[in-house]
Amino acid sequence: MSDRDPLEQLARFGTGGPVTPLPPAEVRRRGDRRRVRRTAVSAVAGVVAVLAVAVPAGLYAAHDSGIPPVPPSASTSARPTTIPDDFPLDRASGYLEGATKIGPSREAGMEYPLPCGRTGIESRPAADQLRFEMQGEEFVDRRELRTFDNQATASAVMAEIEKSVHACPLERSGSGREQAWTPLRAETGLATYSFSRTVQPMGGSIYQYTRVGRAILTVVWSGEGTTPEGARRDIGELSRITTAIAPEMCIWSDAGCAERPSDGATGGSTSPDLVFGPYGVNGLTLGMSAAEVRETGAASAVQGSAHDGWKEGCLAVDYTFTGDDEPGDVNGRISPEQGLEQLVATRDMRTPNGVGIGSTRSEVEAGFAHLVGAGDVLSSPAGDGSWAYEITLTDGRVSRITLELPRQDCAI
Amino acid sequence: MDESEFDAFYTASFARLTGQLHALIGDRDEAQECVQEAFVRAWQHRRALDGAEHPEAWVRTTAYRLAVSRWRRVKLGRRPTDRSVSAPLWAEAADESRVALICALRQLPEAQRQALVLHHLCDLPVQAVARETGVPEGTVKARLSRGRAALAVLLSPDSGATHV
Repeated sequence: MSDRDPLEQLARFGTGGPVTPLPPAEVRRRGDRRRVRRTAVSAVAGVVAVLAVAVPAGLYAAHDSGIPPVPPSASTSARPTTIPDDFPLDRASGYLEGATKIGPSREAGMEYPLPCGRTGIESRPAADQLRFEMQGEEFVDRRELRTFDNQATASAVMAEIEKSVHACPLERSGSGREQAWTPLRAETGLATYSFSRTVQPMGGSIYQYTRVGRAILTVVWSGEGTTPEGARRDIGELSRITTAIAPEMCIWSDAGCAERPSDGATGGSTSPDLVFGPYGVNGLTLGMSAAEVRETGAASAVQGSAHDGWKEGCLAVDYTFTGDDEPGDVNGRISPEQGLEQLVATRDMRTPNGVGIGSTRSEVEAGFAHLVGAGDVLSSPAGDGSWAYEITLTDGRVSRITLELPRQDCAI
Repeated sequence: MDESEFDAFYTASFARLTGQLHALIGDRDEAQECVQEAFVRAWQHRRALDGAEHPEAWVRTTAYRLAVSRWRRVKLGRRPTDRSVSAPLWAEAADESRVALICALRQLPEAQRQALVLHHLCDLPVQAVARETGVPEGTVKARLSRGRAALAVLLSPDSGATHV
C-alpha cells in the first residue's frame, strides 16, 4: 500500500487507463434517434388533433399512425382501429408511490429494442397507438397499445417478435457487454409472449406482448438491476398489469373476449421451461447453491457419493420438470465451493437458438456465432468467460449439450 | 452546441469524466457505460446542455445519477445470485495504491465520497461542489473534513481495512 497523502493520490487519480468511447458521431446518432422518436410521436398527436376536428373519425382512422397510411380494404372498413383517448392504459399503476406518470397519451415516446437489430412491434404499420409511462427512481413501467389494420397483421407482428427472440439469444451490446434475450413463461389466459433482455452484469428489461384481436398491448419493466432470475420472478407482475387492461381490448376482437390463445397468435416453439440457456434452465441457474436449486422446485439435489470419482460434498442434480428423463438421472452437478457448475440438456430441451439433441453440425454452426474447438466437442463460451455451452456431436449430430462454469470441481 | 462543439467537448472530457465517475462508484466499466449514456442524453437534450453553465458538470451529474440508480436497484435485493452474470469487481489490473484508494472510497458514506471526489479529483471549489450536490457550502465543508479524516484512517498502513 502506498504511504502517499490520500488526497494527493485522489488528485492524481486520472482516468485509470485507456477508455473506449463510442465515436462522437455514433453518440450523436443515438441521441438524434431518441429525439426523432419523440418528435414523431408529438407530430402524430398534433395531426390527430387537427383531423379530429376537421374529418369524421371513420375517414382518418387509417391515417393517424404517423407512418405511411395503409390503403383501406373492405375487411377493415367496418372494424374500428382508433384507440379512445380515455382507454385505461394506466390501470394497475398505483403500486409505485411517487412515480412520475406520463399519459395515457400519444406523446410518451419509447423504444423497443429487439435482438440483433430486428424490428418487432414496429415491423408492421400501426393504425393507432397510445402510451403510458411511469418513471420511478430505479425503474420504468411502460405500456403501449397498438392497433393494426386486421388480426392477421397483429398475429404476424407477434410471430415476428417471438422469432426475433429465438433467433438471436445472445449478442454484444454497444459497449461490448453480452446481452441475453430469454423467453419467459407467463400465464395470462391470452395470446401472450414474454421475454427478458438482460445485460451483464446487471440491467435490462422484461417485455410482455399480448394480442387481442387487432390490438397488441406491450408492457415493459426496465430497471438497472434486472437479472434473468429477477425477470422470472417479476413476470407475474407484468401479467397482473396485462390482465387488468386486456378486457378493454375486446372491442378490437371480432370474436369478442371468447378468443383464446390457440388462435395462432404465437408460434409453436419450445416451451419456456425447456429453453436451455443461456444461464440455466427453468429457474436453475449456474452458480446456485444446493438450497437455491431445491428452492426452485425444478430439481432435486442428492448426495453424489454414489457416483464414483466425484469430489466429496458434490451433489447430483435431478430435474423434476421434464418428462424426458428418468428419476435419478444425473442432470447436473453442484460443487460445495462454486455451486451449480454444470447442467445437462435433456432431449426435449432446446437452446434459445433452437439447437438440441439431434441437431446437425451445420445447425450448431449456424446457431452459435462463437464456437471454439474442433472435432466432435465444441464450446461456445460467454464473452467474459464466466460460463459456456459444451456441445458434443456423435456421427454428425448433437448427442450432449451442457452449460458449464469454466472450472469443474466435481468432474470425474 | 453544434456538432463540432459537441464532438470536441465529448472527445476532451470523456476519459476525464470516466475517471471521476470511477472514483465515485468504484467500478470502471460501469463508470464508462454511465458516462457514455450520459453523453447520448446530453446530445439528445442539447438545448438543456446549452443552457447549462457547466456542461461537464451536467454530464457528470447525469452519469452519477445513472450509476446511483443502478446501485440502489441492486441494493433492493436484486443482486444476481448467479455468479455467471456477476462481473468481477476489479476488471482491470490496477496498481496497489489505486485499488486501495478505490476500496477506501467505497467504504465512505456516499455524500463524503462525492464531496471528496468532486473537490479533490474534479478540482471544483467548495461553492461548485455545493451547487452540484445541492447542499449548503457548510455541509460540503463538513463532509470534506469528515471524509478526509476517514480516508486517512482507512488508508493508514496498519488499518487493514481496505477490503471490499
